[in-house]
Amino acid sequence: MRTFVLKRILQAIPILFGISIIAFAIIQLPPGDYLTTYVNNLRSQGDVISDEQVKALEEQYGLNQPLYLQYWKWITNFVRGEMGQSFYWNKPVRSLIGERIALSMLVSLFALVLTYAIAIPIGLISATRQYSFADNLFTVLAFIGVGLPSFLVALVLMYFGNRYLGLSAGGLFSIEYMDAPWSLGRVLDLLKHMILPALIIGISGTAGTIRVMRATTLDELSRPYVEAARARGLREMVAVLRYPVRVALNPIMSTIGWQLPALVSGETLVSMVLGLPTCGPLLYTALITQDMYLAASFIMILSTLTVAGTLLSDILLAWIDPRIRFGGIQ
Amino acid sequence: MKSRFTQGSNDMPNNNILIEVKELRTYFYLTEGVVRAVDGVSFSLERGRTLGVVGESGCGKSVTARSIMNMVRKPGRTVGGEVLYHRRNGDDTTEEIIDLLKLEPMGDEMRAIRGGEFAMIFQEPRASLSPVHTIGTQIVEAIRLHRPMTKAQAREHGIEMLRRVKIPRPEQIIDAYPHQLSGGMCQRAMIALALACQPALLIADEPTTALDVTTEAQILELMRELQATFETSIMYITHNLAVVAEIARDVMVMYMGKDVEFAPVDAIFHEPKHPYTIALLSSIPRIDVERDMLATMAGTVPDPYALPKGCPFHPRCPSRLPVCSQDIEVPYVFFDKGHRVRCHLYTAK
Ligand SMILES: Nc1ncnc2c1ncn2[C@@H]1O[C@H](COP(=O)(O)OP(=O)(O)OP(=O)(O)O)[C@@H](O)[C@H]1O
Ligand SMILES: [Mg+2]
Repeated sequence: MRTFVLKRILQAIPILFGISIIAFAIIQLPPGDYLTTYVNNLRSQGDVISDEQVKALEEQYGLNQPLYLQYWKWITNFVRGEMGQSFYWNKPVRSLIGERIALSMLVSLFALVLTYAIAIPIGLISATRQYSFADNLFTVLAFIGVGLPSFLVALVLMYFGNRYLGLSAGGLFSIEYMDAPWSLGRVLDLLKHMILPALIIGISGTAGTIRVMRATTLDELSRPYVEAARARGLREMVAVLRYPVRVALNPIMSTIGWQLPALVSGETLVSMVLGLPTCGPLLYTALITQDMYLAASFIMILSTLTVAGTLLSDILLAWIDPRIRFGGIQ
Repeated sequence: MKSRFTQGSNDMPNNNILIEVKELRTYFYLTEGVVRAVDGVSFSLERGRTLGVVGESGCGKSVTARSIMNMVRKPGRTVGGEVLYHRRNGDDTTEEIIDLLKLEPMGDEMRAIRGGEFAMIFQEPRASLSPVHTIGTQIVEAIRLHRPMTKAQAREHGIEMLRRVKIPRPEQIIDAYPHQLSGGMCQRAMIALALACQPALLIADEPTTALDVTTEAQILELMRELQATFETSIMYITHNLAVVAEIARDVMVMYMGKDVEFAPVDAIFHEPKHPYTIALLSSIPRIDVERDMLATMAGTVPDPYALPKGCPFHPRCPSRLPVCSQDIEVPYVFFDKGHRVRCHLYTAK
């Protein structure tokens, strides 16, 4: 098990390296020297910038050095938390991202938990009562859930949630808690605001997970070991929950890895529609305005989180499935 | 009153019966139609004996086994017949007769018998064990379900059982996962699991079909040995007549859900009566006979949704009579030593 974990961590390093190259390339993407663009921008707004200042900036970003040194400077600074300057907001990237990353993760995690809490029991019911009314109903709903674009779901749910359930339809905090320090009230307020976005973000994942859970459970239910468990005299519920469901959960665990990126991109769209103070909208504006340090930092952080999530789900899977832990299914 | 299906000669009173199956019928209700998987099967099995059940694939052997365990599931249903279990108390002084089919299939009483008094092993040993649980977890669970033991005691007992089925290093193997063991080892573990509660009946549904010949011979030897120690009755399902010859004392031949012939094993091999049994025997490849002389049966198994009228074998039967295709149940014809056959050829006698 320890060698497995070690191996997977080592495998993650080149992936992260690749991502950092891409992120760095994004910084270089806009035509021309971005510092020139930046300086021109400021000058066109009427600011006076001396040549010394430009020189200092060049020095700071290492622009007069070869590309690989620039990369090295950027990545080492990045790891230390110095993510550069947002040209658009004229603030350090770090101060812009800080809380938003945390809130993004919170909303995504909440969506993930909600996804599993809804999908696993429904998938299970669908599988054990195949072709029943409930199964057919969930099947139809799940297909709709997979098919609908999330922003549409967001608008519809926002309308109904706000109108009939009194759920908040925008933002993550009520006005009175907006800039308040953390307190129980603020946490509850946040939770209340998070339900809708989490539902919306999770909806297509939930629908997909229901289908996966249903299919794998059905598959497992017809395996000889289930019949053998019944022949041992186990109760039906116990035989089903202890054996096939336990096995069917494994592929679900392994989907955490690819759920994460989907959650992040879903989060971007939904946060923009609902006006949530998370990363999504900021990343979007950063890309539109060519605010490259901000964009690259976002991409770097979100990708790292995704890689970490995948790693985590792999380790989790190995932990619960002996066939993987001991090297390969025969 | 003694049933005519009870084996043994008539002058000897026979009170050593373990189960009597009478007119068992299990059908599957599918959208395409009704499959009469088991359609009137009767036999009885004595304590400590082995009954071999043979027949082509799809003739209803496994469904018969599941019907006896009262664990037929939708879309199947046991629609008729009785499975009489002659249950004895611990010291063999009293006996009660229970019709298992009258019990609630998932009720406590049936579940106590299932696994506790009737055990089963299956065709694919590795697939019959959960891939994500150790052998020990599954054995301990089975033992504790039927015996009042602590986890530690059950584990001890499990290790002892693994030793009895000749698994090397049982103290370690008990913590192994199925994928770490060979097929033969998995089947040994399954046998240990099945016999852990000292069942009165062991149903073995093609337990060696998936194994190689050497392992098969070892498993058969092991089962014979264990039967002697545990005094378990065995219902051994196979389509391999050579295996039957080795392990069984009586043989039931099935064809399309019917018990076409039942006889002591010698009688099956030396005086087969039913044309199907005769055909089955002559299809065994033998070293002393030329390869191209191999008799293959004419025709194939008929469509299960549209069974032929009358005797199900008549379309393929070399000695069919006009009466065979008439829509009547083929009667049982009895010979001595419990030999009986369902065939019109012998009704004239
Ligand atoms: N779950 C099921 N649903 C529908 N039909 C079934 C089901 N189980 C068995 N049958 C049908 O019942 C008939 C008998 O099946 P059974 O499994 O008893 O055959 P078998 O004699 O054990 O064959 P094999 O040697 O292949 O194991 C077959 O025609 C099969 O199609
Ligand atoms: Mg079978």
